[in-house]
Amino acid sequence: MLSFSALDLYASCFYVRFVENLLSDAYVDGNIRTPMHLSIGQELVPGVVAQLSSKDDLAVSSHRSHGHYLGKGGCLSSFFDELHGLSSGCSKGRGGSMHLIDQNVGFMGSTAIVGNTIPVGVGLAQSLQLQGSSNVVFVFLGDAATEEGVFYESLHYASLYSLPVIFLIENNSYSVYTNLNTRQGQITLSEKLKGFNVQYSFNDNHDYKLLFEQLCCALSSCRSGHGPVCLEVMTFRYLEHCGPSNDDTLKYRPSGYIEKWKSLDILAMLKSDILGSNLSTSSKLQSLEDEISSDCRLKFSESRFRRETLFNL
Amino acid sequence: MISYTQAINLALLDFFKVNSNSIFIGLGANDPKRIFGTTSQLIETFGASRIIDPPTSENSFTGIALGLAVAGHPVCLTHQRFDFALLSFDQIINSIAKWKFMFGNDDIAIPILIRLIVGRGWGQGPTHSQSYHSFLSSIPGLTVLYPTTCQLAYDSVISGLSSGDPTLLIEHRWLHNTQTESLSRYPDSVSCIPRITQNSNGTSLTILTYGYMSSVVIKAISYFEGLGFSFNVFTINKISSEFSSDFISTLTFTDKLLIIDSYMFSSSFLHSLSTHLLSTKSCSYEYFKFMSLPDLSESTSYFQTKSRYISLLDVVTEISEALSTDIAFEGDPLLYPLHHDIPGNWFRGPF
Repeated sequence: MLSFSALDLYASCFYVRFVENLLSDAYVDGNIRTPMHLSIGQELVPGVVAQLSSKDDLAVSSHRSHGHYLGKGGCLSSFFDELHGLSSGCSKGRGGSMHLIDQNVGFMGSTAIVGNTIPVGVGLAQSLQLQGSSNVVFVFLGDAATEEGVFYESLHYASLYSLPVIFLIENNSYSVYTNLNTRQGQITLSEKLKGFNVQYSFNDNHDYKLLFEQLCCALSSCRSGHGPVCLEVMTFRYLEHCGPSNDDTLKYRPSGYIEKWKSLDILAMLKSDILGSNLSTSSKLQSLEDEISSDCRLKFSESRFRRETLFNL
Repeated sequence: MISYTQAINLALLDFFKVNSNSIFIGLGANDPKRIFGTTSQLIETFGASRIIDPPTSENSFTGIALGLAVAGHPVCLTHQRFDFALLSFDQIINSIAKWKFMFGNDDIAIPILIRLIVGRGWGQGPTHSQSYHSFLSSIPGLTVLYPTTCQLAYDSVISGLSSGDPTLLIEHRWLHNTQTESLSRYPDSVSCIPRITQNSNGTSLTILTYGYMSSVVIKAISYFEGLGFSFNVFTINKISSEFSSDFISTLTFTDKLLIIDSYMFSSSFLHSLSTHLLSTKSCSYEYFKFMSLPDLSESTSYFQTKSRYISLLDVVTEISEALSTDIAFEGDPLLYPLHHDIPGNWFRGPF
């Protein structure tokens, strides 16, 4: 089992947060026109996957895929170019925010229809199994995707054939503006999955150390041929479902819920734990942040320049 | 002799022998009836890891097929009725058709062949008779083939699995017993699928059709050929509503044109062509007729389907009218079959 490094996880989560904040700030000037579902607040899962996956492990995702693409190691310049609609983007500018791909690092694609890539990931896993590979497929999905029939069909198929798939469910409790209870009632996913013969784990309150262990176990199990694993992680998105802004003025989420999750901000938690455990110092963390942020800013400004150059032709 | 079903089966066997990573997925693939015999000997030859009889989850296993194809496996999916594939249209339209485009990768291969079997008459019904091949052909990124002969059926399977372009194969149940003496076989012979086949080149009447109706038309014109008439017959093998100007000009070689679609009027891909022809040729055809099925769901009733389909008698009658000739064909058992809902005595259902 890989040893856990809070500093590495912090770096990965900070990277995703910084890129997303950059996009949120930049969106207002109108140079990014693609529908954009930001991952701010949900950096934990991509951060942990970044620690534990290899580029030969595969991944598919859905509309809110920036974090997954970045966590898997997707090319940042191609990502910015994609959001700017440039032919140098990872999908040649055709797909935009919701259609990201970087096969060099095993990120095999994200698409915009809820649940749509779940079976694609299962098919990729079947190919890995046929090849005798020990690699796995991460299928990233949200809580709403667990309401789709194709999720259960795919889960059943993956279980039947003992395919190496890790279904990573980021449960942010809201599908656009509709809360989990309205959509799913009192029956938990854990209860729904009984009978599918899949391993299920649950993570709440951004318990990152536990998530690291859960994902280690899931990977070990999948790599050993024991079939699929479902890992449900409760999390929280800071901004609106689609777009760059905070929409809490709409009051569709209780203030207590928002406050609770803001107190569980993954970057703040990690930073506090790192400093509290003397794993690093404030100045060293600042240096790390500066290094990451300057690289992101540079790549973003280069992409923005390419966009403006094309626009002014 | 080799039947249409055997041609499909041989194409699968031949392709899978050469391409050891190819996969078959279809409900009933390995059951005793082997999808009307088209999957015979597949599991015995290639094993259960490649010949998959999946859970009944059409949308999911279509996406799984896409995942396999993205990973480099040629995949043949098969639905025993087109209607069953309607459950998988999210994957077909939102994923398979767009995978190359939406990731900006026009050069990658997505080797998926989806066989969609359609029928008529006995064993059909409101949700066992639909064939929206016209709609599918309108979606960028999909190729839709509708083979009418054994060789074309064989070649269509090979083409769909090897072209790298997602391909839908419309396979008419009533063609399953069509026979041929021999086949050009893969890999020694690799044939391109001609968009349109000119079955005969004559001057009396031009007929444009496709699918099962092509076989009906070929039978129908045989009633007239000894009477001094000759026919310009075209069969479309690749469904698309885009026709080249060269081809359209060939439809004006005669002053008489009969277009026969294989499906309902509103779902027809040929009626836009007929509109185009009538507008560009200023209605100068001496005779023009468009035949299609009525815009009505199919009943399961033997009695209520008597007038639904275009029969051999309907086509012969229409040609007589086009040629202003009156031939006597009363009593011909082919024109007046005992039952309207079977293609021949070989068909005993169940669907």
